[in-house]
Amino acid sequence: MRLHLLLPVALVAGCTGDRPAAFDRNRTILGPVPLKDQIAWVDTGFDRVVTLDLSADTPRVHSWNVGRNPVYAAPTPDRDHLLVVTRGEEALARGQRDEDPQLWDVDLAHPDIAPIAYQVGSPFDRIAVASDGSHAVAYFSEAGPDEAGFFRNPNEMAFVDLRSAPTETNPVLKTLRAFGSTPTGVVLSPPMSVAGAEDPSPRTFALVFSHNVVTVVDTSHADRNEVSLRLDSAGSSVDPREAVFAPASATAYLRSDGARDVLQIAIAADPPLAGDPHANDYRPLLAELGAGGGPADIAVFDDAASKRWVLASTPTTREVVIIDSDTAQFRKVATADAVDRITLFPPDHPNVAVLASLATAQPRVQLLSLEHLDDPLRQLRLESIALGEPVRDVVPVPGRNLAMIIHDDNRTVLSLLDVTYGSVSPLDGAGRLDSYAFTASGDFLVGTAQNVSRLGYLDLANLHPSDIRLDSPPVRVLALGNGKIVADHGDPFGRVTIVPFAGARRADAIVLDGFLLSDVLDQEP
Amino acid sequence: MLRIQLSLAAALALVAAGSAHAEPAWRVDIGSSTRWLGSTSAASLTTDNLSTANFGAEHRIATLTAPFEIPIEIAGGAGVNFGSSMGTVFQRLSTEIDTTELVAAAHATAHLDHRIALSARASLGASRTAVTLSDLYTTGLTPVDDHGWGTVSAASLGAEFAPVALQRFRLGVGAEVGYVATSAIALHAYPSDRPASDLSIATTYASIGHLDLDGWAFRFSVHAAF
Repeated sequence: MRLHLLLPVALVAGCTGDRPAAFDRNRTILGPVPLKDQIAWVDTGFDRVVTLDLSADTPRVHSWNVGRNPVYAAPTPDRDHLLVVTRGEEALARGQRDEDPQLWDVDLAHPDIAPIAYQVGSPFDRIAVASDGSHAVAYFSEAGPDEAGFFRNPNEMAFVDLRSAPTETNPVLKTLRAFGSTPTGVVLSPPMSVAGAEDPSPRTFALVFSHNVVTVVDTSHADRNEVSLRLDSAGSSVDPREAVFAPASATAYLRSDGARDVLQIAIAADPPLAGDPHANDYRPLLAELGAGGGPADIAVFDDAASKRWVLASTPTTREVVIIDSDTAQFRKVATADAVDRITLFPPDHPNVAVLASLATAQPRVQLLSLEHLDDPLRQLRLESIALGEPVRDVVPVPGRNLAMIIHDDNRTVLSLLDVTYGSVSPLDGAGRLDSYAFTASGDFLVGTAQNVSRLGYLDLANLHPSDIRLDSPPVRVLALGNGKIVADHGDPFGRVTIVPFAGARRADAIVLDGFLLSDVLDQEP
Repeated sequence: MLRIQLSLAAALALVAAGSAHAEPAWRVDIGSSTRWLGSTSAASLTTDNLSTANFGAEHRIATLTAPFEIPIEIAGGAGVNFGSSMGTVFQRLSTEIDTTELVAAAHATAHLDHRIALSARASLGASRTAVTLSDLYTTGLTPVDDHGWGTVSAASLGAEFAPVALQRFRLGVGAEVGYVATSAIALHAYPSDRPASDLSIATTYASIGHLDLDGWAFRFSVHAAF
């Protein structure tokens, strides 16, 4: 009898089509992520990476399926690959499948190549990638546990060799030794050779920051032991914030909040213990460089003679310290303001450092000449440039000796500093500059303001402003390597305005609409 | 009340008198149907059925006699159907599917006795399908709105009962079960408030795929023949 009652129900249920599970999910969009000649979005509903390929005259849309529930995405430094961490899924309902957290390497230059999945074991929400793209470290942010999951180990990390296929030993999952603190950041070094070490090949070291501790991991041999460096000898409460590297000498320079000085971590050869397969062939040596004050910003550069210098600003002593990284000898330059921002010009081979005090919002910057640093008898030239407005940020213009100075928190008052001549040109905008970018050539500044359907250009050669009217307000502007400019309108269906080159007219632009939902109705469940 | 009853009786008498010379030749139908959408594309947009209002008229073309002296009326006609279904996708976008179908139909009715009949119907026509996706929570987000024309065909079998079965007038109800096949409609992500093409930047709207509304259907109708 009961069977007879269920029969019509089953019959009706069999009449209806299967609904793909993606349509029942809470869909969010990660991105846009600017790449070389492409822009990527990650669709958490359809579990796919969608790119807009603008390398040809006609835009093309590509997509790659990745694992269930993407939580974070980051490009490799060469911007040819996108790394995506997916949380996975526990099968609790029809259409779901059990899936572990994975890190996906998506080769954006080759749409026909399927993404590579690495089993990372935990739903990490941050990725650090080596400058050569060889290694990545997936780790947890400081955001704390989310609603999914039960336990979370914030000191757990996955070390991934992106040049090798996924295996039992790739990635290497490690829980770092902790001293009551959790990681606040991970920085990967460029390839560095350790002179005299058992393994002389260049390798990537990971510096893991946490309160009062820096942990060094050899990512090329991630199965070996990590080395923890206690920083509480350098101050009562030390939080490492930034590291710059001198790869030729296998050295890192560390800026830390609460530290008395710039910290130097030199990687030195140390024969491994016999019989211990997890022993390292190096030993990190921690030293204070003697700048004489807690550094607020550091910068590193090579001079014309390929000598590496470290600049550190110490606001408490109102000085900038110039350190010879080879000898650790230093000289100090007194500054009028408590400098907490150092910006080098030009970035490749700098000869001037722009010094600014952002915390005190001084209405001036200082230009420090970086010529003849190795001559201790020569006085260093320091020039003060009055700007008339407080300085909130200093943004270098790529390819030019120009710095965009932001004078207020709302980015409504700007000026352009010509570092070569020390001249300053004020800029008036239509409103808050919510998003901006410099074209790859450094010829134009392009910007957008919220709820303003315009794309503004500023020709940096003569500071001539112009703009074009858009059909809807943009949310973000992106400048690609091939000179094309893309205004993203923040539409969950996908809407962008593509301008072929800076300074182009409205008639030259095109709009793509709905590409994030491209062919979604044709998907099989 | 008595006046209304008298008026209805007079109207029925007039209809019966007007066709006193023959069996009922014309028939009008008003019905309601439910279609269980069987395609993945439709299920993607809505988990509800397509509810349709049906209006039709037909004219008897011939009367045949089947074995056992069963009379079979053959009729041809036309109809219009208005359908609608609503749903939700991504937990935040409301969807609406609206259809308008203009069909020509062939209808065969086998009268088992003067009150009970079996029927078979086949129809073919054109269908306009419109889809709207709008955000339930984000103000200012322009809904996606597109429509397309395609073909629709249907075949069904059913039964009819006529509580009023006079010689020249019949009033009855019917129920049918059948299958509706539609051609897939290509849909694009057209914003509902898109500016005129000559005033806007040249825009390419992506295809969001093809929607077909095939499915089994159940129809209930009221008909009058005169």
